[in-house]
Amino acid sequence: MKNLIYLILFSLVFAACEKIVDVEIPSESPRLVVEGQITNLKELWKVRLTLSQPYFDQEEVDAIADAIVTIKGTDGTDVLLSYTDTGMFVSNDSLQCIVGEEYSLSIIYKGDTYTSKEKLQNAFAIDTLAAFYLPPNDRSFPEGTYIFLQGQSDQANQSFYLFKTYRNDTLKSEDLDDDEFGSVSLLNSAFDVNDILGEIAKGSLPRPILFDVDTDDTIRVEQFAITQQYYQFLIDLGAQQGRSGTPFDPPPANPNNNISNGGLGYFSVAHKEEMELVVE
Amino acid sequence: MRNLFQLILLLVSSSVIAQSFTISGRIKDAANGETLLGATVLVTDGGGGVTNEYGFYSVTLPRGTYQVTYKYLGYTDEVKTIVLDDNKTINIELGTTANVIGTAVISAKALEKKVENKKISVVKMETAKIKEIPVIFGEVDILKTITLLPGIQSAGEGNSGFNVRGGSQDQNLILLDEATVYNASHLLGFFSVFNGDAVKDLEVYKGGIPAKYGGRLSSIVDIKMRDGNSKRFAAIGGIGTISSRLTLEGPIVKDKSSFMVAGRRSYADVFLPFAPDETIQNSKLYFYDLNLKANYDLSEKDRLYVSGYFGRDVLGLSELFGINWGNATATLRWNHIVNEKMFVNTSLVYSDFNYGVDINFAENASFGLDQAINDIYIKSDWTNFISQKSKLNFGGQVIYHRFNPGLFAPNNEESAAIFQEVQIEKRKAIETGWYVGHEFKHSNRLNMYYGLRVSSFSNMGGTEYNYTKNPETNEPIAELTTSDSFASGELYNTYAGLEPRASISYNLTTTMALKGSYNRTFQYIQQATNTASAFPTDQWFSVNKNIKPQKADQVAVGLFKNFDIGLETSAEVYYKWMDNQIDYRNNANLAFNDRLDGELLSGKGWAYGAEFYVAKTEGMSSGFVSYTWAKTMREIEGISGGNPYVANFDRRHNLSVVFTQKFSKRLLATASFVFSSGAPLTTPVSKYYFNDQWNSNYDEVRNNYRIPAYHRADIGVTLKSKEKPNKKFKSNWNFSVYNVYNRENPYALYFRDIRDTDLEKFPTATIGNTAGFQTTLFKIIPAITWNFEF
Repeated sequence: MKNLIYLILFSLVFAACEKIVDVEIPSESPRLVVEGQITNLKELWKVRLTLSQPYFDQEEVDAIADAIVTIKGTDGTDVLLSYTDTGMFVSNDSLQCIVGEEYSLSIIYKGDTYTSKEKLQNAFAIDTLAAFYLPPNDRSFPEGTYIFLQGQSDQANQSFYLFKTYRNDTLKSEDLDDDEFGSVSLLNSAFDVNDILGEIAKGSLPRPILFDVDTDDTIRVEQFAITQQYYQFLIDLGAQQGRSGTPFDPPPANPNNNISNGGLGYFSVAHKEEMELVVE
Repeated sequence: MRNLFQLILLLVSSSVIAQSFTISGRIKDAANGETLLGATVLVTDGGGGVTNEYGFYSVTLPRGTYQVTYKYLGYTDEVKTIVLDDNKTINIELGTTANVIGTAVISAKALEKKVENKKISVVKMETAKIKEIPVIFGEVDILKTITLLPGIQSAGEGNSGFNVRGGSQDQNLILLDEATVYNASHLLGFFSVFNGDAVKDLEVYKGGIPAKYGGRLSSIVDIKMRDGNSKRFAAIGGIGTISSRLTLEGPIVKDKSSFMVAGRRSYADVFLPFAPDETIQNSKLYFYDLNLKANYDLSEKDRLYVSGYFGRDVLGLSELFGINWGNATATLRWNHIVNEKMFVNTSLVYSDFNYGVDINFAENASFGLDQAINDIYIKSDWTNFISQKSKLNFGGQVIYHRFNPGLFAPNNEESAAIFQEVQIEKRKAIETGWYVGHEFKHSNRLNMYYGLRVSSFSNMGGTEYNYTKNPETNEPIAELTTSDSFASGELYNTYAGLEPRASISYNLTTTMALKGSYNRTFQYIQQATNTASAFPTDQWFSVNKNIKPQKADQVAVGLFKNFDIGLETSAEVYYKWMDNQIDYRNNANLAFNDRLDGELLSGKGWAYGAEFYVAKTEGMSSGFVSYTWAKTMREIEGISGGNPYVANFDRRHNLSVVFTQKFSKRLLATASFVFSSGAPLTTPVSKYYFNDQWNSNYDEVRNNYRIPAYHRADIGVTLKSKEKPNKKFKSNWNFSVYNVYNRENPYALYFRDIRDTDLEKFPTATIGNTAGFQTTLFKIIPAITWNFEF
């Protein structure tokens, strides 16, 4: 009888096994890849241009140097980005985007023109960034120090956010959140983040942006209000990157981007706000 | 002129002077009272009939004295001398052949396996046969086993879905005692929902679908539950690796009525409390199902049946997260013999499939997600046994569908303060089907069937309908600007279709026949499936302004030949044209989406193939070889640049070999082998660096590649207990090994960059490089099952 149970248990072990395989897959000629983001903050505008390469080619990225890159805005902006190094094209002066205005990127490379445009979204500054130690035995949160964010989203429009959280200048998490179900949960708009213990005692559930931090850590949160298209692009890109060989994987497909003429990558115009905190 | 006069005289005399009478009745199994379907009634000077799905037969003959032989595979013939001077009701009980090993084994006689009795594009499998074929974890699975037959392809390992002649999974209509089973999967597809002990008979129509059936494009899987023993109380059951089963049956009133209750429950979760991890200890993972059936003879002419199915899967991760889903069906049937030539069955059917998700993060973050499809229908099927040569079927059905595409609701007041309830507009619809079909035996050589089905579908008002896709440009409408309101009960977006059906059979010799069939089918509801497996979360949705009914035309031709040595062979070719086939935009979001139409694209499809089958059903060695060559294509604007592409479930070569050897009365072994071409896949054609990591740039050509082929061999051994006279208790042990040579079949092939988390598994890999990964689901798996009956 005991053997039978072992046999049953053995049969139940069907954890998927995974291995790296050598396969030959079709290949296409290189395509232009665009990576760039401009914001409401006064900064140098940068766009990086590279080429795609065969999937199993483990060489360095092929950077592009010979392209004409311009950005025009409906606010009258018209700038030429000049090549610096490793595919990077940079503006001569620091520039900033204005809410509601649209910015178009144009790239002429080997006789082909690639374009892309986005509008700057409205957003508000972050109100509070707070660190809280939560004792053990809480049902929803394991013991540790948590970082909570508080802010307000623009209720006039549906808002889409990307939050980048850095711990001691190392990027720890990238979170996407929107207000489809009423509020942006990471912004904890309805809670008092200076009294997390009180909120939890009331049965509320504030949502932390980071967990497992130590005293004297410097935490920086960057809030990007992005377009719906870029938001969806990042979600789809993340789903494609998160493949695990299970039935939950999405069908293989390129995320819809905003580069014309078959270009890969994305050119984003985002509203950026940031806040820093040293954990006490 | 004189000849003509004689001819007229002859015609008049034969129709007026000769008086005809009808012999009718039911044929049952003498041992347990189960009605026998497809039993033959042979009359001395040729001719005869076959019992219908309720065991009823009707044969009309001129006045006279006849020898009538009642036959059924594996049963002793019953011969009756009948003096036919009036209409006669003759009910027959057939006993099993004495020398057969056990009651379940059916040994056929070559004579009865007549080539003309086989229908083109229809496959049948007896439960007894299915139980002999080894399956994963030893869990008898009728849906997995039928994928060994030609033209029926498995949707993949760990998936109980199947594809019939280039049709998608939702194009199969699975009927259990006439009730639609919307999701036939347990444990996300590892097992199917049918308990082998409760099933009497299974028939799959891949083509040549009679006008009686409709509603799905590709196939009809007609599963009939057993009636229950009307002679004595009996039990069958088993203890298996995954689940245990118990079926109880017996007479309510001897020879008049009987019942059957069959239950099954898995018990993987019984071991969970022994797990070291607390989360696993508090987890739930099980399924159960229950089949119930009872029947009662109201009178000689009336019989009432009640049958039901209830099954559920429960999956829970501690108290935080739970998902459960299941089907419930109920069928109430009334068989009525109007007169000796007219048989009618009227059914009232209920079918429901629903799933629910419960999430319980905190007191104020507790909510659920529910989705359901629910049908109530009434149908009536009439058969008029006009003469030995001619049989007329007609009838109709009306289905009332209700769809709940999704309800997101807080579970308590605290949560309601934070989360808004979201209900995706519920939908209602009426689907009807009306048919007439005529079976005609022109001569001993030529048989034919022709019929017509008229189907219709209307959405029903009471809800608002939003156009989420622009019907002209085919683009999704981001802002819901256009919407129509319909009054409660108002019908809108009505579609109707004519579905001609025909089949013909010509006997070239007594052992060889040429057969052909044509059918048109319409489908008005479909399932949004974007992953390889059919998940319970895949919602059913109906046609509307944007989504047109699917339509298919299929022709098939086949040659059937039986050999004296007990071999049955057949070869069939088919071609199928399909319109309004649905596929999804890249990155489509199908879950809880109130703008589902906007994610759909539609176009045409076509499929063709050849199927070969050789079977030996008698003797100590038996088995079959089945091979299918098939091609399935789709062409949809917006996918693959509008060019034709191979469908996701296209598998070019499919081979299965099953061999059973009886060593003695007690020992039996079965070995099987399956091979199928790899599933199509879309691979990257290059990679690009973005967001500090490598990303795949996928080919615009959909399914540009094939993963390696799938093949596997299984073996099973059944050892029966010693048979003792006067002892009802019998048992057997079944040992099986799945994937004997431990083939690592690819379950999925995918591409990504290597991350630091991969180093534990792949120490030699380089972080930042890109690689191809393959997952395998089931390697070698032994299983053991103990079955009993008394």
